[in-house]
Amino acid sequence: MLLTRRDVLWSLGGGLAGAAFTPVPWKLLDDVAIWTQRRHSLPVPPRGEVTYRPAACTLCPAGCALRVRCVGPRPVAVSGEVRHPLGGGACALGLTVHHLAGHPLRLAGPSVRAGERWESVALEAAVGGVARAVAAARAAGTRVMVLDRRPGRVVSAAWRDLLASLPQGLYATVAGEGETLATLQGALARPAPLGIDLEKTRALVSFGAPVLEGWGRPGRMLAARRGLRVVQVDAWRSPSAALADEWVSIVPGGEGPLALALAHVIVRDTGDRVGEDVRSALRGFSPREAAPLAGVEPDGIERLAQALVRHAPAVAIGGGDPGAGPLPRDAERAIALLDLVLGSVGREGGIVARRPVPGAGAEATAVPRIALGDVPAGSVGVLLLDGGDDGRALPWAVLRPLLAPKAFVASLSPFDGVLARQADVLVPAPAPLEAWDEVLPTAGASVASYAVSAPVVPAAPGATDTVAFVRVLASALGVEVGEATHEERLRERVAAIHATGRGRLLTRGEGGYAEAPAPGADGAWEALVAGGCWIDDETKPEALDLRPPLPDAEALRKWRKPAPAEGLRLVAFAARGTAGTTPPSPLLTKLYQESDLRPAATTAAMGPATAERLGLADGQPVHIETPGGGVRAALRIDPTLPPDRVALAAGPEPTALHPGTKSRARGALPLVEAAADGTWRETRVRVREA
Amino acid sequence: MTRRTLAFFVAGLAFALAFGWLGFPRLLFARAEQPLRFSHRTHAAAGLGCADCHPIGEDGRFAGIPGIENCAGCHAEPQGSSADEKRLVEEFVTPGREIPWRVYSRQPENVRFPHAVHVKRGEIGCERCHGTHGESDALPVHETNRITGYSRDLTKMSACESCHAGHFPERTACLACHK
Amino acid sequence: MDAGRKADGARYGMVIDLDKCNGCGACAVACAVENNVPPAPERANDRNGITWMRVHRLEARGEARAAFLPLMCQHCGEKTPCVSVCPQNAVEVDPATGIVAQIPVRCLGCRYCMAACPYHARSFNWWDPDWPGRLADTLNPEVSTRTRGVVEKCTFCSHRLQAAQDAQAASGGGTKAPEYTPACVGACPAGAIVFGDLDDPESEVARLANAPGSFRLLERLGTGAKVHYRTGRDWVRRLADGRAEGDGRTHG
Repeated sequence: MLLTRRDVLWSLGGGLAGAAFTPVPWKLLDDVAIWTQRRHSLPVPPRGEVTYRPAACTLCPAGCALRVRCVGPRPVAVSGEVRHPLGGGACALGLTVHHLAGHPLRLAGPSVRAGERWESVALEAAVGGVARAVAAARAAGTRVMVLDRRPGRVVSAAWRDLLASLPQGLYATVAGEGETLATLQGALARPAPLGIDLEKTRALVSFGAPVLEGWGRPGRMLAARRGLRVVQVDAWRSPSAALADEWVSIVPGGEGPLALALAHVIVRDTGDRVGEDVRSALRGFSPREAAPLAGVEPDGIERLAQALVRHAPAVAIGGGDPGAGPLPRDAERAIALLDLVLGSVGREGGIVARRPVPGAGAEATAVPRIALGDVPAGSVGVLLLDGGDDGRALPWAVLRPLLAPKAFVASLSPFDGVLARQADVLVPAPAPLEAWDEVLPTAGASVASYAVSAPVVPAAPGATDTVAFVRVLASALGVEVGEATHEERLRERVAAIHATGRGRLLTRGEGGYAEAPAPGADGAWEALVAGGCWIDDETKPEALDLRPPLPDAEALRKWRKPAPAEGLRLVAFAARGTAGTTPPSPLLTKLYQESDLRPAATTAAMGPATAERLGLADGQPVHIETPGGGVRAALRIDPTLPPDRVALAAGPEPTALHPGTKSRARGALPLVEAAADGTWRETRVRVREA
Repeated sequence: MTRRTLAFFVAGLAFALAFGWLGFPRLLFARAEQPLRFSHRTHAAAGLGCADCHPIGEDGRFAGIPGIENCAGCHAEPQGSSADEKRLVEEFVTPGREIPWRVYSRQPENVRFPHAVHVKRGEIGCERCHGTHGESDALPVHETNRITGYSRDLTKMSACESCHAGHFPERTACLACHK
Repeated sequence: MDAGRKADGARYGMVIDLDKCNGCGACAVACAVENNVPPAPERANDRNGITWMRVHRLEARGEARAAFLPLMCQHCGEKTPCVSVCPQNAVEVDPATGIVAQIPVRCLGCRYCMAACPYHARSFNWWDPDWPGRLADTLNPEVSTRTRGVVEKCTFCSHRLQAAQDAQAASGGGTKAPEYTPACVGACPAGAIVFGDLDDPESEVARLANAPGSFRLLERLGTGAKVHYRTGRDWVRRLADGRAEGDGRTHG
């Protein structure tokens, strides 16, 4: 019997009817619906046991105590220890510190430059390259310089041990947040580290330091804020200016003249006995004369000076901004002089001396510190960039002039970035939470303290601990630095602290911090590794003997008669921790891109009058250029920005939040022109439509 | 309709029914053996209860399938003579490698089943939901739905709802079970 | 108090002190870390990014100090605008806890709820999430990850509530809704956010919510929001009512 079409159709019909009585159509519908919901490319976070491990954030000098929540071996969240006795909490960067070990810009291992690309090498090969460069520098008579942005650690001591054995070693540090205090410290008859008795201060005048959004230990500032009148002196309405009790708008570079004018008024009105050297420095800075130099009205200067006297004890600080960089040294001297004239040095509520953190070898080696601004141009044959990050910008434009022709640069930062790309050799250190680290007293700390951060996760295989690197390099160079590992050096330091018998040791537990009853040296180490801290005994503020810090005659002359210049002033800025060599977690797009809480490096702000003069509109793409370079940005009209300046963030660098971006926005750092003293506040730019 | 067309119709019907009920499940579900033969019965006979290997922690976290450390507690050396146990010790315990068990009851990622609330507070026995699994001598074949990717033995939401709607009307909010 | 609630329920709410908030953004980032929110792709902006918690900056001419307003889902009461418009029943108010729970897998992405929400508190997944580098290793297993095409919003960290309930059950505790801390609350360095059961007369949050000077955003809409704000500054208070009067300005 032949099969006909009708047969086939009938059996198909039977099949369809039958299928309706089977699970097939219904299950297929259901399952396909579920299939559309399941995106197999979505990561499924593995489960595991939840543990909490202590750590300290090392993205900036605050060193906030952290609690890292781990699922199995993986950190998944971070919270700040609000109960820390010196002030706690964590900022947006600290809360994402656990992302950095997996950041797309994290370097995999030692590499050497091969043309435009990087070639992975073994550690010995990388160190060999450095050793050869050191030998070449010796032959050429140029210096071997280590740039340490976090001095005072045991790592710093290891570097100085190495440099002590090299004939042309230079140990350089950058100006930090505590630069005004360091200036005063340099003027002391008996040098001691200085801090601020912030809890009893009644007025704080900040010359461009971001005191209310990331300075010193932010938890401490938050706690002290209530009783404090904060006056922010800034060339733009910075976040601190927006949070302060008063914003005094100045022209860029007006910090020095304003500080001297305030000192002038106070000396004039209080009739304090000051020496002729001080009087001579203040001559020519009466409110009326200083007004155009500072960009503040004369009666504004008078009012501010009177307010500072009325709200004694009042403290003035500089220290620069993480994006704009340090203030010129003479501006710091002027601010320090103001502190002296205010009578706030060496008294309760003012600037007080504290004891240094004990620690054998941390400070006591033969190699002196030199400020980056004092390094002679063209003298450095080998530049070793330590990986420790202070969270502040360091433009290549500042380092380049220091290098001799054919200089060799090695970077130890764990991350790719602008500075790393200038290097000849990369030997990445472990990422945050992978490394041993220390927490030293912050700028303004009125009492010494110390804490240790133990690794929370094992270091990635390609990472090289810095102390280990120093030892391998020393052996390649045939010099001695001592056998101790990083951890051993830390133990020695803790033992030295413990041996002083001073201070109290606090252990960290579920309920917070509690004083540990007299542990031995081993017990002290265990307590610190478990997240505790050591706090020195408090001392009563004593009067301090110092000679007045005075700006140079040359600086005074320049301030009294500023030279005219063309173009708009560049006001660079950055939140602490976003403009250094450590990129922020990609999740910071929440603050910089998915909300306009913080201005991103892709937008440049200008006042309405300036924009009108240049014929530019809000939102327009613009090109900002200097002889040093050019960047793109989107213009934002900001009515609070005074005329003739452009405010542009120095960080986060757009390639840090979006690696591989084709955008030509780069933030402020490619534009800056470095002055001979290592500052870059004098940069002038031209802005035109893109 | 002639007898012939009816015959073809019924043939088609029968074929569809057979395929739908017998062939389709075999096609739809991918079968996979577990990496090792594990006998719950043997371990229960040795005195272990469910909670000895599948405990609920103090923070309420259910341990799920035990990790290799749990097995290593007793099986650092072979305890018996089976070939599978030898493999356990050599391939997993000694190198500290996790056994890649295929989980029958792993819920979708957006579901949260709180064992603590059901077992500790609700005092529901393990058998109520996991059947006689705990008395089996060998682990059943694991079947995975090829389209959805989920295990065939997974408890569906309708099973949860039938209990909750009846006994716990206040816990029928989405957020009670979904994350 | 609604009829469906039993005695061991709670009405979780928040009080945010705008005079303590300094705009640091820690809450916004802590929320994103806790809830597996992906970082934005390059083309995202502040209109199409995903910010369950977002901090807005408030300025007024003549006022020295700016104010900052952390804004997230206000967890409205029964008259929840988003619940009433959702065609999928993907969002509902949990009577036992007061939390407005969003189940992203049920959402079909019509975004009607985003239009309905007067606080602009909801975010849409315009793109498939991408965690660059090895960031996916840091994801939180207690929160599901979402695909593109669904709306998501603040859940008062209900997964932490679930974990607290588990711990309560495991340790033999009662069935009273437990105390727990959402990520933003724990992250705020200034302690500006207080969280708890608004119906517990002894809780800090109830005390603050009922204290004079506490208000809710767009109160005149009658959403019954469970997030209260406090400030001593009149101009901030006026902005919160949505009355800018031309001299106040919000950014974003």
